[in-house]
Amino acid sequence: MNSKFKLAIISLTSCAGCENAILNASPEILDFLGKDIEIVYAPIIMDSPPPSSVDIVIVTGAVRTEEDEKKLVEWRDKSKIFVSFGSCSCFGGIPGLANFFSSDTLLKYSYLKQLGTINVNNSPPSNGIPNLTDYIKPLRDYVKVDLYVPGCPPPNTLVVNLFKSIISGEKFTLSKKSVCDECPLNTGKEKVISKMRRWAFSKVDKDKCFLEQGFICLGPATRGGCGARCIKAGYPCRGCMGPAENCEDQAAKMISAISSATSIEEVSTEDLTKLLDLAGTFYRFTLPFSIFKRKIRRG
Amino acid sequence: MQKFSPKIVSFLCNWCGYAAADLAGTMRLKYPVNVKIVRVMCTGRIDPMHILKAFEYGADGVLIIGCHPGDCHYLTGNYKTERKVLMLKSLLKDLGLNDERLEFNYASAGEGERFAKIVTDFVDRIIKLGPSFLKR
Repeated sequence: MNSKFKLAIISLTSCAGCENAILNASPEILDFLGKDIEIVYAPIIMDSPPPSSVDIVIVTGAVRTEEDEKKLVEWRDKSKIFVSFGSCSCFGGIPGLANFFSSDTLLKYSYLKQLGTINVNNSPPSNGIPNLTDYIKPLRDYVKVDLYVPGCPPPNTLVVNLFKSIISGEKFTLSKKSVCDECPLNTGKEKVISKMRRWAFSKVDKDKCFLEQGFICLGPATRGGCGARCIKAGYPCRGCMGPAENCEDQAAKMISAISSATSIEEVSTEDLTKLLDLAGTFYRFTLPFSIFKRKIRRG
Repeated sequence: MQKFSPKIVSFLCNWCGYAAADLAGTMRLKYPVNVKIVRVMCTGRIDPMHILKAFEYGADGVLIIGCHPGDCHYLTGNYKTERKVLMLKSLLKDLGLNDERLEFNYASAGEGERFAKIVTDFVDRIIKLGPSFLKR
């Protein structure tokens, strides 16, 4: 194709880490950025008027406000390929954990109760800001999504593959393996956990499988493709790539993995009841994407 | 007002729980009809996904009955399920569902009466708790 692909990057409620990840995928990205693909609209990176239509739109962040909802529908209409980029837009991500609370509670907490907040009016602001949505939902619940690029932020190889596949017209696929398959600490032998440990209170051996040492590592339930980057940096997997292929729910898979890997003689059932905040740990990035979805009772 | 009749999914292991249910039937013991029995070869075969799906589709309670500790036909299946259920209870509590709706209990192949009692007690408890809020 002779003409350049026009690319827009739209940020909803996000931390701007995904935009950094796109720009960070150098030097490979320099091969096609500006040649085959041109960024025409990206408020977070540059100043330009919004175009009437684009070829590709990359949407980052979760839908938290009514403004986000409108933006989403508008850009779906303007684009040919709609890319859900990053864990927040694919699964709800970290903002998705707010589904444990109602939006009223959230507003009241951050505007009235949070430490260091002085609120003269004694009420959350009512005008000038968009309203919060009731729940955080993944983008696919609002609009048709063409491509998913998970990760927090998506790894460089995925970003490069995404652009390459769009230019060449090939199908963009995610890894079908789990993080454990890519993990350098995976010996391939059966894992036996002999003691449950907590990260802050125990000595860590960075050359031995974290799960086997008793730390919670979401590797078995998480989609690969990231090259086990957290584990290579000496930290257990937190599950940002979302559920692995043929795994619907990360928590269910993790409970299954931990309960069958713990040694029956050495780990007592009491040790397992001491594990804290299972929903927050296992659904760290995927609460709105989990099996109960929005059907959780909220505080 | 119509009386609340709970829907309960029950996973029974082939060697103990199901045999106990069979015996309870042969002995013509009475127990509530609310339990929908699913036979599995071992309770260790039950994936947490099965239990979560049951709740998601509107079950008011899930009852799992396996062999007594040490009696598992496959040596450790029931220990593993005990752990799964413990962690699932903690997860369900975080998600706002009463963890008493999930129970793991034991009944050997000869304990038809114990089986009937477990089921009766469980159904009574669920009736007291009322319908699950996940019900559509």
